[in-house]
Amino acid sequence: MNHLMREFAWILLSTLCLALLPWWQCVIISAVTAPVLLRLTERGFKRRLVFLFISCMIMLISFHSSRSAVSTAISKLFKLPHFSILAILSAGCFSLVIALAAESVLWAKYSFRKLGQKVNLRTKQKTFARSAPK
Amino acid sequence: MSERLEKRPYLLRILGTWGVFLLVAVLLSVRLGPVPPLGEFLSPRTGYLRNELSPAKGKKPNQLKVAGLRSAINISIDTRGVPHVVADNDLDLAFGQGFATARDRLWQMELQTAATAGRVSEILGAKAINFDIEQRRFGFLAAAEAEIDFLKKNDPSQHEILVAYAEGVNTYIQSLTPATYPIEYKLLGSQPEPWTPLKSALFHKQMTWTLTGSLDDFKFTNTLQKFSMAEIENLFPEFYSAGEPILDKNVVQMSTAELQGFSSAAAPLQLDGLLNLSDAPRSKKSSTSGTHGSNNWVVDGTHTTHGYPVLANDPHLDLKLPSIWYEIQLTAPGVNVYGVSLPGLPHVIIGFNENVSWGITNAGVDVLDWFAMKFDKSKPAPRYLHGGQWKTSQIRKETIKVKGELPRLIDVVQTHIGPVAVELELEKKNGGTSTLPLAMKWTGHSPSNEFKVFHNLNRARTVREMKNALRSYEAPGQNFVLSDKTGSIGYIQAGRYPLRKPNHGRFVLDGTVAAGEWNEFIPFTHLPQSWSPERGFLATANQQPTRNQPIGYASGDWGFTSYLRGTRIHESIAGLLEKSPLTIGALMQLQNDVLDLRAKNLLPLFLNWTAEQKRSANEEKAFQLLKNWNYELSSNSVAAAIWSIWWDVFHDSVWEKAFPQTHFRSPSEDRTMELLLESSTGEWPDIHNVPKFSVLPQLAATTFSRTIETLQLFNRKKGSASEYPAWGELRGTSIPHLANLSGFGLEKLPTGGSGNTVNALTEKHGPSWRMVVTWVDAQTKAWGIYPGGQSGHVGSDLYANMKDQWLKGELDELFFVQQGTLKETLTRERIVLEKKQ
Repeated sequence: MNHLMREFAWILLSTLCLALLPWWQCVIISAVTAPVLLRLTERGFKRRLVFLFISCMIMLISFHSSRSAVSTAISKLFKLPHFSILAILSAGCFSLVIALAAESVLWAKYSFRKLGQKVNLRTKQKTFARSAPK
Repeated sequence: MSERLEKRPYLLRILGTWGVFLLVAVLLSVRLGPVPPLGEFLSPRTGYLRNELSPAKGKKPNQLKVAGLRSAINISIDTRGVPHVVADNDLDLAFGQGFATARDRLWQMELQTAATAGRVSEILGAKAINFDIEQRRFGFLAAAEAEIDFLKKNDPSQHEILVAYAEGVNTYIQSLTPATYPIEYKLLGSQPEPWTPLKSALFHKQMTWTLTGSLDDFKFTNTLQKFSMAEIENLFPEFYSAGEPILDKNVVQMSTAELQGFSSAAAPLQLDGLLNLSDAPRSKKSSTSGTHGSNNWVVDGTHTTHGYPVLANDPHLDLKLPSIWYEIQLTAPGVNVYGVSLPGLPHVIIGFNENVSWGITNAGVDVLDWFAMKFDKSKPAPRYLHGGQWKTSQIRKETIKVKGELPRLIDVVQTHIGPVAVELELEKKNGGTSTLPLAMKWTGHSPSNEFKVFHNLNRARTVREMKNALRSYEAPGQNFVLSDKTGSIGYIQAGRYPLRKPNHGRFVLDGTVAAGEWNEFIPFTHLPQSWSPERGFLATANQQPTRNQPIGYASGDWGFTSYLRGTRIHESIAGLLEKSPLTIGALMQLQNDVLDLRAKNLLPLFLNWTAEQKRSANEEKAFQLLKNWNYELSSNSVAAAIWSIWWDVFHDSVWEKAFPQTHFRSPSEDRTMELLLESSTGEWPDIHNVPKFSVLPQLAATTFSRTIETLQLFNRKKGSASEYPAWGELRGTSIPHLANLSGFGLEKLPTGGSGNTVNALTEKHGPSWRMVVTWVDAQTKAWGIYPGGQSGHVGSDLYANMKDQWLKGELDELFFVQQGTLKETLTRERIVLEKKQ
């Protein structure tokens, strides 16, 4: 599976978790699976954020399409022009927090690797220094 | 990993990403002012989307195993959302009622009782603290506790029913998780609290307060400082000479022997100034005159086309979503009753069974007095002067929990009269001020057992049995009209009313003297009542019960609402009866009557006064509309809008200078009408700051011009193309949410009528339940509707489903199951509560 496919799998998994689990559980699962399915790249975060947002939007709008009495009441209560703003707000909040959680874990993984590389390098340097002709 | 990434200072990126993530996560987890924690609230799993309820599907019973049941309970919910609870005994029946009611109205039940107990700050925070302090001082919690103690001691069976009802509610609460809590809990960040019998008693006290409490004594006391008693009796009569009373005969007067204990003769308090009412409790309207009212009527079987009595009832209350009423059918051995219940109380309050039906309206008798106390606060438990002696008061320590803040502690001072609920500032004539502590004496503070009364009414088989059930009814005082299948009808103004002398209790009384504390009550046999009257019908609309004031009976400060509704109902039924026996349809239609008798009586006079007035083209058009008007306050009538505003502006202009609303109550609209019509006999009051009668035509002309300007301005602001708004557009009726959550209520529905028409709709008030009951071929037939729906969940299709029909004045046929079970075609959902072994 190439990286893009794994990214989409992660997005689908996160969206599914959001639909079925409390939000913080969804965030934990998304973060835990991130190092397995994702790769830290310069452009990955923005792409994942956008696709996650779209995916959440589709899910939430499909929920709203069946019934929207509560959403309409809530949007009037908070003086929102339309109940779909709630779907946008929800999708925005959750895609941001999920993407950030994944990014944080990826950076942690990266830093561990970096640290590992440094430790290895230093070990090698020390070994090299010890083995170098005096 | 890209080379560009490698070049960045990654430690900074790590910290930055983690920092932003934590910030977003925290923001999603905390409440920001009125906004609930967004993570929980927006989550599809736990948030608002879980409250988007779809209509129930399938007829497969939803089975629950419940501990503590004596046998299984079957609850069939019909297509209108009405539960039909069938049980094998009274306790399981109460359990089923509690369960079914909580399922639809849990949050409403909780908020209503929290408000009565003065615990709203626990839910809404410090902004509700003043409301809670007021409620605590009124002593509702202590009164409810006393009622529960009274029941335990005197009627354990009713207490057991309250316990079973509470168990039913709590079984439903236990079936919930935070994700399935009603949306209001999620919005306000609270959670359901276990239900107790005390909460049922609290709600009983709340209803009693709503229907019997008024603070007009304060305004009348101010009026007495400015006007003579003769002027007050003329402008504010307790009993009116015009209009139709409930009864065409007087009550059985009390004998001298019965009046022996009648000693209530305290003189009204004389003050050296006026009471400043800006600090009067805000939780209670100063005057409910013309608003809280209801209609009921009953025609006996000899005067109807089908030979059975017809009973109609429409109680007028503040309109809210969810509705104050909850329809239910309760079936167990010895009882099969249908009607509306109050969420939080067992039994049916207004309704019918296979043999009888009953309807209620508010009696409006004064059962609340205020006594000015004199305290010696030099000691920790303050002493008060009474009958020449210093007596020690009791202090009730109250802790008010406040959401997000430290609890507040308050002391409620209790005298032998009642709690010191209000302290008002006296603005003295010399410019100084002093504080006047006022103790409250109210029949609602005494324990009573209305639970037993409704238990017996629900099971009654004849009018006679209902009359017997009502013997122990105490509060709130109500006009009950009754009918049974044999054709009998009856009426009684049931309640516990203090024996009074005229004007007693209309003013604040002197608490330092021993006289005036009523302890005697009107005996049942002397209450206004009528059984199978000759004229064949009985009707009540909160008006005075008899033409002349019965001995010992006083309306006091509460006053009767406009007698015009009662008059119109009497005229209509009597008029129809003269022609032919009555049909069910005609009696149903009467509930929608919007003929304004005030306009019918006064508009010709007003038009005559202003006939010669110079009018602009617009004014002329309005004038012609009024000339051709049929006096009906229909929703689409422009003339109704013109007249209603004209009358309001005129009435205010007549009295506003002499009776400013800040300190006084102005004479009622009915009395003003009487004075205007009697004016040819020189009855118009000669009072400083009240326009002379000769000036009134000019006042009518100026107020007419002001009315036209007001209406045109209204339409201009709305950008309407028409010249004047229709009545329904101008006034309208809103049905706000119980906690005033905008978006959860209905705003400005186009309605007709007014407080003095039979269809008594005002801005936020009106027929909260319309019901018509009769028998056809010995089977009970009933129709009903209320503005809203059975479900208290905004996401349900049953939240406000009855609104449109209610607006049109149509009634639903009620599915009263008399034999067998609810038909499959009428069933929406079935629930079986089974005994857990």
